[in-house]
Amino acid sequence: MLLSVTGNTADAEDSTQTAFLKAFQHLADFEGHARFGTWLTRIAINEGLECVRTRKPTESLSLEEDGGLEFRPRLVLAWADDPERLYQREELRALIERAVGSLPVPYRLAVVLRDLEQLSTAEAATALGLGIPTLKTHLLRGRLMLREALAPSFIPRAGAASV
Amino acid sequence: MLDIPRTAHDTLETDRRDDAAWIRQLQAGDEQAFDLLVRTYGGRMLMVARRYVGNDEDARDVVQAAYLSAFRALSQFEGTAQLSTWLHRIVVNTALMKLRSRRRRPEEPIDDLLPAFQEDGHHVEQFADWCAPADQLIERKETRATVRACIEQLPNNYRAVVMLRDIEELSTQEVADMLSMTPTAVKVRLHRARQALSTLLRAHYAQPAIST
Amino acid sequence: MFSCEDVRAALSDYVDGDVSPDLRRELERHLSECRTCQVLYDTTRKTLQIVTNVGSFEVPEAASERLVTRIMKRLTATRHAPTPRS
Repeated sequence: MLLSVTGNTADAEDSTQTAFLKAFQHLADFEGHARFGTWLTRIAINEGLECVRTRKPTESLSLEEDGGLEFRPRLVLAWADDPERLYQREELRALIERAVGSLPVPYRLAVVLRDLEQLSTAEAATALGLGIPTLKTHLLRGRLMLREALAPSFIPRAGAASV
Repeated sequence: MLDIPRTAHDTLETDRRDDAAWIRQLQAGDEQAFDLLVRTYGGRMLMVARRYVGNDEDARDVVQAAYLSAFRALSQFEGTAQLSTWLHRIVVNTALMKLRSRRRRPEEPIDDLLPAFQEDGHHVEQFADWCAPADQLIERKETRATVRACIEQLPNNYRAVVMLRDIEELSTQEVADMLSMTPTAVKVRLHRARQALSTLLRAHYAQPAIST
Repeated sequence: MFSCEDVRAALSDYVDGDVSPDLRRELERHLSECRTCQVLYDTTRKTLQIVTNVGSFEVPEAASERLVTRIMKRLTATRHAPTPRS
């Protein structure tokens, strides 16, 4: 396959072809040494993905070794006993809507359909045109990000009761 | 495919009203009755729509389209579900369709997508399968593996945008934030990445292999 | 060994009760020994409880006069136009 691509390179001015050749050169470099996975991890670092550490839930996403994406919960502290009691109804509602709205769309949709609309996994998957494993992955990330977004509001302040 | 069955939260605590008279007026074409329908539930429907489409302007479009669909479907409404429940379902379906149209044909106005709904949320007409043949191809496991393999052959920074945008389906802005790029730069890089990917895929499928 | 990453990957399903008996056993064993994962599980559960409850709250915001007018205008236009749907 390598041969057929480089062999067919007619358009030398095309920058994408040049990029290809570079990519294949890199491939050759790494094939002998590290696993593909390690190469990918190094690229993720180079892209600065792993270096992004802020409060925003989306920025805890990083490329993993197998090329997939992972969300790492960071703010793992216990919440107050009855977190809903901490806010007036309207405050709480606004808080949740804002947090849900901050999620990336695919993850947001999974959470909205499953947890707000109370659809089953199969129903939600169908509505979104997704396979069930994909829906479950989106739901996992959505729920973890939502938790992260809400944590600052529900972790008790010093002196308050907690679980 | 777009059916949203009865859900837990489409009936709020304040919905304990007898809709029967109201429904009769609506079905008789009483515009004041419909005006009241818009005023009573419009705010709530806006909130529901906003959860899906993410901004106020699109939420308003969705709510408008949903109410118009509701109007068209009134004759089929039998009153076995509550008005608010029925409306809620129409809004959700309309919002999902808006999202789909955004992904595939961003210039398509929402009006063209007005569906007709029955009372329980089922579409009246058959919807053509919105998966293009290319998408069906993607469903096949072997095709996905090939695409995945080709993605892995892209240069570092090209692969990142394809992964985040096309596989994880994050928005351009979200990808821009994550990679510390401008949205324009993301689009440019994505375009090149996709060009590169098509060339790779074309080369793969052009091989004189003994395949289907 | 069952790691914290494994717990995280199964967390959503576990909260839904959608795990096999074997997986459940592994998860419960890990949770009984790992404080961090226990907290992650508790707070995720609470998140879902809150979100589910909020879904039933009434919304104070009303549709603006402008939106109501806009919708009613479109409605009237639709009524007086020939039926488009086939």
